[in-house]
Amino acid sequence: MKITLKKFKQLIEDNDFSYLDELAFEARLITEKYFGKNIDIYIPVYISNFCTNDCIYCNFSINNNKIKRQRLTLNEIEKEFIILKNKGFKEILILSGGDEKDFELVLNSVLRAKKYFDKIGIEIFSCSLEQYKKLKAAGVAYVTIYQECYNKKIYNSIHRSGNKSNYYFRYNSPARVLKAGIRGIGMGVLYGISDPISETIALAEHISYLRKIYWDRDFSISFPRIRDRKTDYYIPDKLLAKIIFLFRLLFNDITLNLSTRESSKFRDGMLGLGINKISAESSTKVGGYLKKQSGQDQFLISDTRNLKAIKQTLKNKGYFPVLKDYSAVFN
Amino acid sequence: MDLLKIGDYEFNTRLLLGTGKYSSIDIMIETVKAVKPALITVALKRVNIDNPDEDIFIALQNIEDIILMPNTAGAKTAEEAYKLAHIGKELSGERFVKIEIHPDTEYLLPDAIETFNVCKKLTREGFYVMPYINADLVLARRLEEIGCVSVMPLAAPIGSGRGLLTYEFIQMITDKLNIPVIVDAGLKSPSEAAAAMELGAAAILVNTAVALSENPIAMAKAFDMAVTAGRKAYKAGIIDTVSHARASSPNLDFLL
Repeated sequence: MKITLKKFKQLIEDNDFSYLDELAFEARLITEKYFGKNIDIYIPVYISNFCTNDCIYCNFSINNNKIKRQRLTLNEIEKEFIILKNKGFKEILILSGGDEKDFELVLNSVLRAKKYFDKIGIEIFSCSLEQYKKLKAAGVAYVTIYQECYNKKIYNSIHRSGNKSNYYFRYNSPARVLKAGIRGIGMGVLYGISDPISETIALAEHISYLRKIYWDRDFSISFPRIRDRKTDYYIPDKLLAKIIFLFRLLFNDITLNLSTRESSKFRDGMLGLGINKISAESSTKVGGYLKKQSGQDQFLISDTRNLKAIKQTLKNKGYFPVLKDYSAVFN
Repeated sequence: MDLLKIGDYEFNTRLLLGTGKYSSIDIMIETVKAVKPALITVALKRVNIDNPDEDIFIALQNIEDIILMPNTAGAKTAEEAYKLAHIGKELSGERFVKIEIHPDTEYLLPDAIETFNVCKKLTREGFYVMPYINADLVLARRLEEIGCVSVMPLAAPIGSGRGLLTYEFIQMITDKLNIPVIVDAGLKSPSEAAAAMELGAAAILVNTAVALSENPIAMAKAFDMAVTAGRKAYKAGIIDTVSHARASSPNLDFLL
């Protein structure tokens, strides 16, 4: 089943959960058709938590005086890479805070990471076209960059300083990533800071538009939602599930990703029901895999199972844990 | 013996299998063992020899009497496919390579231009090149001219299970080409495989219809039988279709 953007809007706006099981059924059929029994697995690596932004929802915010700022050295980063490679990971997502001074460190981390991993994604501040071209040349397979919030008024009220305070520069980041020739783009909104229905529609429109131009790229969507603090727009599991089912029906082929920010119960339940990619054994602390104790998580991890346990869960549920579904040749 | 000949290889079966989308390596291996396909194709992007316990390629290499045909799935350009073909040759030790270049993730339709370009390069280097293509007679002929050992036109988009949507175009290709035509992708059920064989396809490659079946082993066997049936029918000579009953043929007594 494939639905149009118009139908997607109708179904997300109807506030009706009576047919959730039918959506789940269709989402499962489509996910299986496109991805078979495969579930891709990756792990994030935080290399710096220095930041110039003041995002109210993030522990790395420049206004957070309690956090110890840390920037790993390249050698420390490499040590983390070796730990993760030895655990069996083949895909990593390198993350930094919002401090643009970290660009060179990110670039050098990517070059180091190539020694150990086939697929390297980055999730950092919004970059210029020239910077994205440099990242592409270094071997970046994909960039994850969330708009966080499409509502401009709310966006501006919660992003008052730093790189992120320019709404349009942020909004046009995915287009710059793709224009730079990078193969993959990960997009999303941060659920909890604005009306989830209109945010979901804006995200769907943004992706639909970009796919018409960059038809030969790999798109993915993540579904972060604020769970560790009170918000005006908290979305319940049922609504998040409905959003994920509908995205699967709208974009049959693109990767839908659920991180360890979500609970093991929700993640296990959503496997194959739209979701075809998950993170495992994540730490959102800088130096988290080196077991440096002083850092602070960017946000709280809910699903703390290790890779082995996640793989076993997948197998028990009839899924094939896929650590490698990419070739370094594509870089 | 009615053998399938590809390059200088001969096979006594006309079923080829893919290895993606299975729920476990064990089920995939058992399925392969159950039908002993002519060639088994493996996506090089999935090969993970650093973790041998989880690697489909290593698991397949341990089965006797099968030939692995690496494929370039995931490649979006000729250059990427070219590099993968060489990696595949190193790994498998075979000359076979299945060229798959599909830049568009939605339908996974093959890129004719990039495919042609890489095939030209690889055939010159002595590869047994088997390109996945749209059911396009002119492209198929061009690929035959540059030395591909087979062409693999699609029945329908990969994994779609929509059956022989390209029926008439497959017929044109099987009628005109001298190299084996292997119908690949889009089949849902064995009857469609039989129909493709009746059109003169030399073989069938199937993956999703088997891997996602509730019983992959039994489904692989069913495809194997259908392929054999279709081939026997083709060889026996299928009667021509007529649009009217014989009895109503025009009276030609006036010609006597």
